[in-house]
Parts: sequence; structure tokens; C-alpha cells
Amino acid sequence: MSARVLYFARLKDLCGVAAADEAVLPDDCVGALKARLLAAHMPEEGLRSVRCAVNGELVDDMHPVADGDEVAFLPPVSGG
Amino acid sequence: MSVATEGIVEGPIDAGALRSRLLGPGLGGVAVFEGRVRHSEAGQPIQGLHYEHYPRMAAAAMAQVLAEAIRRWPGGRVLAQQRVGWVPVGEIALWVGCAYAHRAEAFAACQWVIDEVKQAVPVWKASQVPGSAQRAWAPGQVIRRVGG
Repeated sequence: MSARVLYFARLKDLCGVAAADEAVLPDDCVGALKARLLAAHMPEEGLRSVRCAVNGELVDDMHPVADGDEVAFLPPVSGG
Repeated sequence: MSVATEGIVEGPIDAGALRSRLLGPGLGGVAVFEGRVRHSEAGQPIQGLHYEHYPRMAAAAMAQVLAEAIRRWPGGRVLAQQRVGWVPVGEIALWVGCAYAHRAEAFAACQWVIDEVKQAVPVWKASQVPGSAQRAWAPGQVIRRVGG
């Protein structure tokens, strides 16, 4: 099972990638996926400020991840 | 009569065209906000800002913001455009216009839409560090749902 993971803005620079197919574990949630993929690049406080979207919808960290999902990691926004 | 029009655009925002779409008989209070790129960030001179967005979510979030504005302040017209890509100093990055019968609703709706766009639409801006290829991302706010 895998998910298409999207990295934006500062996360893209930190991780050196804009998008990647990542393995999804059974009973995975987006929060667990976020921790696995981002924890090496930022402190826990920074991790908490990153929200997740699944298939274009903002979700809580406990939201499950299914095979083929698009998971976007969204750092703090700064439009306007 | 309630009208909400939204957009994420690449390339210059046509403020005159947007403003003309706001006007209407009975709409006596017109509030327009133009967020333009300043010539410096964090004390450093810049030539512009780079705006990135998540296309799948950003247009939908803009539409939700404006629909919610019309729900909260019915009877007017609300338009907004967020520009993405490279925006040079002095040009408009965010345009918001609200037209209502009276100024109170126009100002209130305009302020609310600006705040929501900054907190609920997945857009990020960065300045280029002078003399470097590195981008400096603005700190920003944790994204939340529209009206949340």
C-alpha cells in the first residue's frame, strides 16, 4: 500500500522533494505518516504546526490513510 | 441579491475590472482591499515575493470563504483574488472587494475575508534571500477550516 505525499513551501525545501509515493502501514493515520516522514527534519513543535489534508480535505491527525490516497503536508500558511 | 466570486490567479490582478464587477444599484458602501508586495521583508530589500499554493485545495477554500462571507453578510457582492507565482514589489498579491447597501457590512465582510484567506487557504509566500538562491518562507499561521 502506498500514498502520494505532497510537500509544500518550507517542507519541500527541508525534505528536498515536492511529491513522493510513500509506503502506508496497516492502520496508518496521517499523524503517524507525518511523524515518520518529517520528524527527522524538524522539532516536535514544528511538527505540530503542520496540518494534513487527504484527497484535498483538511483532516485531523487521526484520520486513516488508505492505499492510493493523496496526503498533503501543509505548513503554516501565509497568503495575502 | 448576493454574489460571491473567487479565484486563484497567475499573473497580474486586474483591480479595475474586479471593482467594476462589484458596483451595482443599491450598493452604496464599497470596501476594497489591495494587498501589495512591500519593498522589504525583515529589514532586507526584496524585488518581489514568490507565492506557492496547493491547487487542489486553494480554489475550493477561496470559494468557501466567500460563500461563508455571503452567508454571514447577505445582500451584497464579495469578490476576491489571490495571485500566485512571482509577484514583483508594488503589485497586488491579494485583492478583496465587498459591496453592500451600507459601509458597516462592507468593511466587516472585507476584513473577515482577508483574515480567512490568510488562515484557511493553502498559500505560502517566500522572499528570495539577497545574493542567494535560498528562499525565506514567511512564518505564517497554522491552517484551519474556513470559519473555524
